Amino acid sequence: MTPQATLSLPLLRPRLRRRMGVTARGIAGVLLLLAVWQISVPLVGLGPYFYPAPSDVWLAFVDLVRKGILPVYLADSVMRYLVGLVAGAGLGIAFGVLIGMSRKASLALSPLFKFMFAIVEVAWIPIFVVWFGYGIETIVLALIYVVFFPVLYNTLLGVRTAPQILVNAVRSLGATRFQVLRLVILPAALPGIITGLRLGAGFAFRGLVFAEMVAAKTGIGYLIFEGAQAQQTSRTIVGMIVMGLLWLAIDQFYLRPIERATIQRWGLTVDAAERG
Amino acid sequence: MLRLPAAATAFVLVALCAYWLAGLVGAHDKLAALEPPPTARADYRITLAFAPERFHQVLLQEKGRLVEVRGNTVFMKDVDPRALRSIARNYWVESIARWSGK
Amino acid sequence: MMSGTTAPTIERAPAMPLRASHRFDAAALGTLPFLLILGAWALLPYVVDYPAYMLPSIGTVVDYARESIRDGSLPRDIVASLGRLALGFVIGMGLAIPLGVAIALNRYVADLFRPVLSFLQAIAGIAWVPLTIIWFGMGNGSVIFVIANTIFFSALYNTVIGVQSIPLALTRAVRSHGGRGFALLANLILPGALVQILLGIRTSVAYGWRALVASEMIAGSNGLGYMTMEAVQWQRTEKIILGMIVIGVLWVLMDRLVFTTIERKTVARWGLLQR
Repeated sequence: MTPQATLSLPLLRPRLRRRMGVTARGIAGVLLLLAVWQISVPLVGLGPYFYPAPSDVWLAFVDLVRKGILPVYLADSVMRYLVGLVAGAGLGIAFGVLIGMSRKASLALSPLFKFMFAIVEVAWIPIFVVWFGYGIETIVLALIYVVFFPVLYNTLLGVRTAPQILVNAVRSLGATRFQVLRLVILPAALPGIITGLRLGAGFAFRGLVFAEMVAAKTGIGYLIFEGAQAQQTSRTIVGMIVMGLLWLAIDQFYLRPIERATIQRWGLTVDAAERG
Repeated sequence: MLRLPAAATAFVLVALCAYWLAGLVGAHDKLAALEPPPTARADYRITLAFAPERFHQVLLQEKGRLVEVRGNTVFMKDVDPRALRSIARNYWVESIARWSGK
Repeated sequence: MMSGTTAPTIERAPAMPLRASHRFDAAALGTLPFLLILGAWALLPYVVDYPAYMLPSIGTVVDYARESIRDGSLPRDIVASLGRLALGFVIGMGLAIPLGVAIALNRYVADLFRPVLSFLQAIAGIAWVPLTIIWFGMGNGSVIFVIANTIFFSALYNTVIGVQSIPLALTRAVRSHGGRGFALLANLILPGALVQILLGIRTSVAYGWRALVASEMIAGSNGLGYMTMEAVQWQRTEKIILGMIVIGVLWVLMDRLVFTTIERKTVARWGLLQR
């Protein structure tokens, strides 16, 4: 948003109105989609196994909540996601900073990390299943993996952009290693860390759903899979919709605000979405 | 700008607390019907508001020995009081009654 | 890297290009971790006791690699997987770009669809696998649908964002000079959205590649993902490891050859990206 020294009242109103208009149109779009979907059901005429109607899906949703299934599945998924995300990000940042501080180490390890990340997280699921069986360890480990590498790599890049001049300046004023870290390196690395976190969070979310389909007995991914298997396609669609809403919530309430707060506040990047 | 994540987290935590409290209150009501309160492992007849699915059976199997399912009712043996309380906390459990054990 | 970065005021001096010997040192250094890992892998059976199926020896993996290349199963799987990716990519992009431009042309229509599209992009891909199994059964149809779906929604969203991010002043300028219809499209809209679309291709294909491997694992009948997952049942862990390595190598190649080239030839050349 363009910064303005003074906001005069007549200028504020049209912008506010436009924002409200955009939101209203967005909601209208969702309703339109639902309407088209509902109308298309008798036209497609394949029955709720192949093509459930929004009403079927709604009933399935109510059923799942009434029976206490959806809350438990949702809680399990979120729990796994958070554990994987926090652990993976923590490890990624820690190693990223440590490795980034040494030029030799960065040069040596970058190709390895690039390759490890190229082995996409879904490809690790089979061997994790062989090593740890089906269950939460496999899922969380896969999540840690998929968060670790983007965070590590981007933290590494971020640390390496810390201007050497500043490091030297602060050192010459008698700063300890820890102070150098806090005052120069971490702030410089922050955009990289946030970028890595954003990537990791996205990949981890999809990885979570896939891992749950393959290796779990609860969770949203499992719900999506089980619904189809038990010929309750409406439940599958409930799972898909919950997944979408969950990601939107994570993105809008956590990822974007944190990104805005850290990066934009320090004027280090322009968020493309803001321009639109 | 970190208000939104903080607010969202606060909302989730409050909702979880409310859910937990509601569970406690509900459990208290359901267990109150069992006079005198259970002190040792016993057998129970747990009635749900619907026919239990595999999800519920698996969940209940961790709390005791699931013997039979008839209609909306699950018959369980050897449930200790703590496990019984945790079962009662679920909002989808309608009522719990003592069972003779067949 | 981030586009449009406004760097803080303190700049570091431009890095001196590495002398040839330094480049060689860096490359040598880069291979060191790989050698260490291979060494650890080779020595592990002598240090720790574990059943052979958990981690087959390097020799077993190499033998299996040779065998599967010789009998053609590995090349077949690779070609099948890449073919599906390509087909899904073409279908997805082919549908997404025209539709995206059409949607984004009118500001109100774009507003109408943006939340819906960002929602659909969130679930695009792997979440559709069970549904596609119901619709198309196991096999090619499901896998290609999932890939196309992933790339379609991702590219669609990026296209709409791309068109919408064209500065209004520019649109007005072109219009005021009489630009209409096709001329407007060719000279303003497509080039303007191109940056976002091209940058979006990388993430679209990244998600598409994951969707490929994942859907092959669940709903496929051949291909790299299928081969890797199926081996779990037979405890042929060397097959799993080979599959993982091939998947990793393929992605590195794709990334290096395709995307960096695209970026270099188009976006970086037009000075729209700061590296």
